[in-house]
Amino acid sequence: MTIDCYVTLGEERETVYSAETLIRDLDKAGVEKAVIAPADREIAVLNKSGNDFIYNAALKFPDRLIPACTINPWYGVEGITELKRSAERGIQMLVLNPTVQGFLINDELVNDLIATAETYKLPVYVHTGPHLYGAPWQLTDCALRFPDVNFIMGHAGATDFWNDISHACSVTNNIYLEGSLARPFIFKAHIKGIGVERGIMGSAAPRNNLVFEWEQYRTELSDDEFLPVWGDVLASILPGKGGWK
Amino acid sequence: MIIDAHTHWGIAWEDKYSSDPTEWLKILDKHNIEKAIIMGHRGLTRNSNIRRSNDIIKEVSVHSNGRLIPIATVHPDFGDESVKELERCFNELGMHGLKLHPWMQGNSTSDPMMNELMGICAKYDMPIIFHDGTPPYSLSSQVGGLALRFPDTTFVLGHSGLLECWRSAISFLNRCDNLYGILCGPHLAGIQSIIDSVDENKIMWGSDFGFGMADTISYRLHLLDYIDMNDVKRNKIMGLNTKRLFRI
Repeated sequence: MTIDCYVTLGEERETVYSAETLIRDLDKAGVEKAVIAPADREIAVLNKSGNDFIYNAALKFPDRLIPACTINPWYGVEGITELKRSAERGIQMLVLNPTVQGFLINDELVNDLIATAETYKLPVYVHTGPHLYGAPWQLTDCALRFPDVNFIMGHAGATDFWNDISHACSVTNNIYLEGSLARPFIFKAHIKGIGVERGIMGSAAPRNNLVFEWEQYRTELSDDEFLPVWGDVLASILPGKGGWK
Repeated sequence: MIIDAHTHWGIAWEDKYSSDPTEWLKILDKHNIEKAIIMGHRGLTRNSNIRRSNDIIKEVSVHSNGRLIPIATVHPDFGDESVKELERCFNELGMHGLKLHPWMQGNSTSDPMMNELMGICAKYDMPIIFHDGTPPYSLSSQVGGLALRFPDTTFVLGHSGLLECWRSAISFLNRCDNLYGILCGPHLAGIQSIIDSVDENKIMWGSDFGFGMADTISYRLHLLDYIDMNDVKRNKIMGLNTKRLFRI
């Protein structure tokens, strides 16, 4: 199975990307599915409307688009309610962006939210890379606190934490590495270090061009060695195993 | 003509090939890149013999048949010694600029020695390429701050903010006439924004090739295929601006 782990839809400051355009790009790239998530403002503050937008977009192409949701943990109980609402209608992943949402992933502020994700067996995608709120070891600390939750280390700490990745992933088995923004030549080295069974492909479209990213990563990472990275690893940790409706 | 404005003679290359760039240049040939600005790597580490590292960069350049344009580095911590070494690099080695990497080198851009080094570069009209995009010493805004403090010196943001600081890079690139940017690090949407909003004469393309052994050029070169810009602008960014700024 081929799945792009991280695509955002809607109108952002620099980009506009619709479900229809995404399907076109998936077809061009020869990719079966994509996990879609809210972007920008809807990650920071307008979570509920963003989650509805993504859910409805996925409903248009239920065999191709897999909905994720996002919750800012500062919403507290209200956020927990929104996560439950999202999970009960089928969303497959919780996306957290500590920099945009303003918290540390190993801060107790996020505990209840992750505990709720655990009850629905949702993997938690965490943006990493930004220096203060995106350090890989912060995520490792959180992952050790929740050993039964699968975490996806979004962007593999790119750019500056590349040298922390193998060690930060070595002390716990519930972190998977997603390669968007990490660039293929670095992601390949990471996956060789931590094992192909923990590698996940993502494009971060539309900030990147989905077709170009898949082409470049496929060129750098051969199918012989890295085949599960294209989607099987991700499917194995999604509650619907790649389906949702 | 494509000129790569950001490459390194990496420690791995130096250990394997000393100062012979034959294999290194084959990667450039593969991508039809004519020339490159080449900076050191070992010389950026504190325990290195900086004088020897600068000599090696010069040797690499000599062995490249004019294709690799050498850039010096010095450590501000070494005081007068760094001043003498920089003067030697410009006067005796004929280097075309200075590279500083405050994050790796462990120096604040507010270090008093910066004043002297910036002054020397202004005197020789040599651009300074800074690593940028990384706190606490190498934020794009900190390099931009130097550009404001030293208006007679020419500064280059080596990464135009990487993934997190490219909006800050845009702001300072537009504020400071003496600040230039290399497209080497932001994602596609960030690069498009830089190109759309900054003077086209102040932007260059670079790959960061050579820091390790991996071919980083393919991805970073072809990323630009997806940028919307006219041929005049593309030619400037892919080579003409670098040629002018570094007097190649």
